[in-house]
Amino acid sequence: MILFCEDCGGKNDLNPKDLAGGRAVFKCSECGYPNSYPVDLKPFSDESGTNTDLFDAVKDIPDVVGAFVFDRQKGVTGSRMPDMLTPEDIHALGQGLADGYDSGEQNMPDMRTMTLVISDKHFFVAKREDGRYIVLVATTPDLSEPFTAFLNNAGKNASK
Amino acid sequence: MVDSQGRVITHDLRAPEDLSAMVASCGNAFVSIGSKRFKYASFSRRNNKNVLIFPVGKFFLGVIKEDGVRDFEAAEAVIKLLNKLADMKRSNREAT
Repeated sequence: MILFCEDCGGKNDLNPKDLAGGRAVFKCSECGYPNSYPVDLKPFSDESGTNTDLFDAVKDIPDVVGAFVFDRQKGVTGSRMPDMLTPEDIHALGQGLADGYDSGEQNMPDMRTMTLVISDKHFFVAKREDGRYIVLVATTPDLSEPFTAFLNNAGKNASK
Repeated sequence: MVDSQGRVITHDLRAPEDLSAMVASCGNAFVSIGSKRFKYASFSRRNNKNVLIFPVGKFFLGVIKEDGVRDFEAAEAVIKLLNKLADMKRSNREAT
């Protein structure tokens, strides 16, 4: 289970059995900061019941930190993001990514995907035919093959 | 290169106004998400003329990538160049 350091944001790979009591207590492998914060051990939420395939499709892609689906009307309809992010954080992230995506799409109707790089995280964004945005977060820029395969089913311009 | 309002500061395109508003609009959205940790964004297109956006101080740099170069490789090259220019500017300022 990947958890982030509250101090430096570094990625720490922890065993779920080490998270007993609903708290993550660990020393950051990057900066040594002694973290201790509550975590929700639920693997992911799936309000609509339609995102399971998405999460199944991406769960084995190396270096994927998380994924979520954003809908402008309904908000986040499924999420498998790190537990330290609140639903409000993920909603705000989805809103910002959707705004950026739509600005790009307005000028470039042939746009297929968008990638935003913040610090060492790569946010891969595709927009489905139904208007929902699919976001994958990874620590690598090189998701070409699995992500292309994924887009063939998800991105609205991918297979045209 | 554009400012946050989409005004073109300098360019090397035939029609920079086609992209200037989009570069500023997206740049502002991404700064609001990532603040100073926003490194770049890329837009993949079917015509392969992918567009990349970089924050440069209070401005945004839009780059149209050549076909055949991967986005993140082009981005790293641009970031390297921008850092080099910033270093040169810093050195010149210290020398005077």
